[in-house]
Amino acid sequence: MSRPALLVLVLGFACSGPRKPTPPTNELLVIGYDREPDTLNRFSTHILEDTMICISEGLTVWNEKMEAVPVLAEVVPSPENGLVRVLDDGRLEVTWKLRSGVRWHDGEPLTSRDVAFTVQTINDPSYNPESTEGFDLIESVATPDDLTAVVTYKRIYAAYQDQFWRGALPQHVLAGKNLNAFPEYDRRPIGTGPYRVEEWRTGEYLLLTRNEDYWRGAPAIGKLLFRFIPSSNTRMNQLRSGEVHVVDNVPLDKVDELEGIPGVEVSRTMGNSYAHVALNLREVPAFRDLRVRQAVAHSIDRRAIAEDVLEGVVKVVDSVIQPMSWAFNPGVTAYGYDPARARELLKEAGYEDRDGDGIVEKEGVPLTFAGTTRSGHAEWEMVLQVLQAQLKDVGIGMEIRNYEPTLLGELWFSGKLPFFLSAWTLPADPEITLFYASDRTPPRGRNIYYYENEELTRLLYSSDQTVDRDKRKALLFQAQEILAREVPEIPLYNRTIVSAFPKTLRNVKPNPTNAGLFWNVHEWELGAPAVDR
Amino acid sequence: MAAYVAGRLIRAVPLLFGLSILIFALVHAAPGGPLTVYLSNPNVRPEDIARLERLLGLDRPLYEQYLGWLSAFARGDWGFSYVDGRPVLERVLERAGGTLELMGSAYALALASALVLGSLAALRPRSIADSLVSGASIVGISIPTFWLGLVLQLVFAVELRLLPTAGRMGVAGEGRLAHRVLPAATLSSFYAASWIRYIRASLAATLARDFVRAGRARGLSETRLLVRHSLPNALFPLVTVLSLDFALLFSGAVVTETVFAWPGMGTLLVDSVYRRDYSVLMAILMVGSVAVVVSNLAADVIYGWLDPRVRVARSEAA
Repeated sequence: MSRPALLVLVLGFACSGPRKPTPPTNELLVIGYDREPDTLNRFSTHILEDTMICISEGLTVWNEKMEAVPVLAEVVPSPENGLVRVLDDGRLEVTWKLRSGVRWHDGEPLTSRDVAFTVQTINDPSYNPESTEGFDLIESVATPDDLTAVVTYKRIYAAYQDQFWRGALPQHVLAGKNLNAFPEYDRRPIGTGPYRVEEWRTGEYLLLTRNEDYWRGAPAIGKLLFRFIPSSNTRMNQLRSGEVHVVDNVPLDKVDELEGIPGVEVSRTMGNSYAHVALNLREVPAFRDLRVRQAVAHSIDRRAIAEDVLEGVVKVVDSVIQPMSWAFNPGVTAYGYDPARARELLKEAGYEDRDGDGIVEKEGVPLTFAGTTRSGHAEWEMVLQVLQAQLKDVGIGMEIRNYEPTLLGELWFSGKLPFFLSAWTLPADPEITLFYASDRTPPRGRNIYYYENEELTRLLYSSDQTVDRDKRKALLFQAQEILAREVPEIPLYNRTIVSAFPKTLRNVKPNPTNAGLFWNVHEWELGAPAVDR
Repeated sequence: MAAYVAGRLIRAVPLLFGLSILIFALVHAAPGGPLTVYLSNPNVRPEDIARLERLLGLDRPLYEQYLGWLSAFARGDWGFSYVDGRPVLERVLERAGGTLELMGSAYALALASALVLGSLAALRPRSIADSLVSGASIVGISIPTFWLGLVLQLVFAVELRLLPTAGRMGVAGEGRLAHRVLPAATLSSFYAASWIRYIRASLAATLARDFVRAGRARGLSETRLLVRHSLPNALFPLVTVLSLDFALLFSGAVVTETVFAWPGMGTLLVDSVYRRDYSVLMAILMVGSVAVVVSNLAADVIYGWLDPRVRVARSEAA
C-alpha cells in the first residue's frame, strides 16, 4: 500500500467519528433474533414462529389474552355459532368459513381446497411435519364451495379451534412436491401474510418486505430485518449500541442489563410457560412416597427464587395450567416453604440422618439423586444450584448433572432424569393428558414422572373429549387439584416473557403463547420520537 | 520436489481415510441424533421416529451407513443436510468464504503485530518496551476469546460507537472492513501473543550470532541488518509454527464467529453439533482434516524452499 493511500485510510477512520446507527423508522425495523430458522415452512419448522407468522397466517391466532381469534377464517367455529356439531355416531364435524378476498403472495386466491390439501399433506406418510396433532384424527375434509371446508374428526377432539393455527399450504404451489426438502418454498414461502421474503442470507439475516396487497391493508413498516445473533451478550450489546431495535425473549438473567437504555421500552408479560421440577418415581423409589414428594416441595423457597435469584421478574405459580388460561384453577393446594415441616414429613416417611453426614437415610440408603437442567441456560443453572442448597438444608442430597440440549432431549423423552428442572410453553388449549395420564409414560407420552393415578387419567381423557367448555373446565379444575396435591411435579414460577422494543413503536401487544411478539405485526407503526421518561 | 510433494499427497490418503472412520465414529457416538429434535414435539410417536429413520437410512447398521457416505463422498456427493434438506456442499461453500475472510484477516493482523512487537522486544531486551510486550503477550495468551470479544464490543461498539458490534456487513453489503475489525482483532489476539514470544526468542538468539556481528563490523546499517539479515534467519524456525497455526486458527474462529454472529463455518459447525446434522458435520470435519494435512505439507514445502539444506537431506535420504 502506498503511503498516501495508507494516510487516507487512517484519516478516513479517524474522521468517520462515532457511527450513527439507523434509528427505528417505518422504513426499517431491525430485530436481534437468537437463532436462524431451519425452514420457513410453518408445518416443518422446529424453531419458534416469529419470522414465519409475518409471512404465513393461520386460520386463527391466539391474541394477547390467549383467546383464539379469527384471521383467515371468518369466525372461530364453536357449538354456539353452529359451526361445530357432534354427530350421532360420536364423530365431530367442524366447519371453517374462510374470509373472502384473501390472496396468496402470488395473487392466487386462498380457497378451501388449500385447507383440504393441507390436511392431506400432513397426513401423507412421506412428509415429516413438526406435528400431526389433531390431523391424524381427521377422517375427511369436504369443500362444498371455495370458502367452506368441512372437517370431520373420527371422534371428539376438544382442541379443534387450534387445528389450523399454522394456516394452510398453497396447493397451487406445492401439489406433487416433496415437502421434506423443497428449498424454493422453504426459503421463500408463499403466504397470505403482511410480509414476504426479500432476502435470506444464511447465517446473517432474513429481510422481509411489506406485502403491498395485504388483505388487511399494507402494513406501516416497510421492512423487517431479522438478524441472527446467537450470543445473548452480543444481542444485548447490539440493543445498547442501537444497531438492533427489537429483542424478544430476553433471557431472564439479562433483564437488569436492559434498564436505562434510552428509547427502549421493556415489557414483561406472563407467558404460557412455567418452570418446574419433575420428580421421577421410577428412577427414585423414595419419590413414590407422597410424604417425600411433599417434603421436597416444602423445602423449596420459591419466593426467594422469584424475588432474589430472578430479581422479581417472575411470579410463583402453584398449578400446571397458567393464569391466563380459561382453565386455570386459582385455588389449588400449595405446599409453601416450610423446612421444619419438610423434616417432619421425611421423619414420618422413615428418613432420618442417623450417621450425621447431613443427609437423611432409610434402612441405610441415603436420600440422594441427580438433579438436571439444560447446561448453558444461565437462569436454570442458577435456580438448580439454589434448589440444591435448599434441599441440602432439610437433609436431601442432590448432585447436579446438567446436559447439553440434544443429549438432554434423549434422556428427557426416554424418562431417565430423576429430578429435572425445566420449562415448556404449553399449547393454548389446555390439553395436558400427554404429560400426566397413567398410560402416557415414555415413549407414548411425556409422563416422565411415571406417576399413575386412575382418577386423574379419567378426568384428563374426559376433558379431551368434551366440547362444552364449562364441563371441560370443571374436569380440568379437578385434575389440577390432584396434581397440586400429589406433586409429581413442583411448579416453581411462571416464565415471564421479556421483550425490548422502541418506545416509539405503537400497537405492540406481547403474546403469552408461542405465536410470539410478531402476531399482530401488521398493526405496528412507529410514531414520532417520544420524549424519554 | 514435485515427486516429493506427490509422495506426501499419496501418503495423506490413508491418513484421511483413517480419520474419516474416526470422525464418523465420534459423530455417531454422540448421544442423540438428527431426529432427537422431533422428540421435542410431544405428539411424535415412536412409530413416527422409526418411519423417519427408515426414510433417512438411519436404521441401517453403522458400517453400512459409513460405506454409503464414503462412496458418495469420494464421488463428490456430500449428501443433504438433515436440518434443512439442502445439499451439504452448498451449505458449506456459502459459509467457507466468511471463515476464510475472517481467518485471513486475523492471520495477517497477528503476523504483522507479532513481527513488530516481537522485534521491538528482541532489539531492546529487558527494556520497558520488552517488559510491556512480554506482559501483553502473557495477557493475550490467557484471555478467553469470547470474553475479549465481548469487551471489545462494549468498548468500541457500545461506548465509543466506532465500529459495528457484530455481523459481516450491512444490509446493502456496506461496511465490510469495519465489520471485520473487532472479530479479526479478537481471533488474532491469542496467535499474535504466542508468536510474539517465538519471534522475540528467536530474534534475540539470531542477533547474538557471529554473522550479525560481522555485518555490523562491515558497516551495515542497523535497519538493513535487522530486515535483510536477522529477521529472515530468525523467522526460519517459525515457519512450522506459522503454517500449523493456520489450520488451528479454525478452532478459534468457532468461538469468534459465535460471539460476533459471523456467518462462517464455525457457527455452522456449532449449529450442526447441536442438531446432530451428521452429513454437515462430516463435511466440515473432513474439510478441517484436509486443511491440517495440507498446512503440514505446506510447512515442509516452504521450509525446503527456504532452506536448500533440507532439500539436499531429503534427496539423500530418498
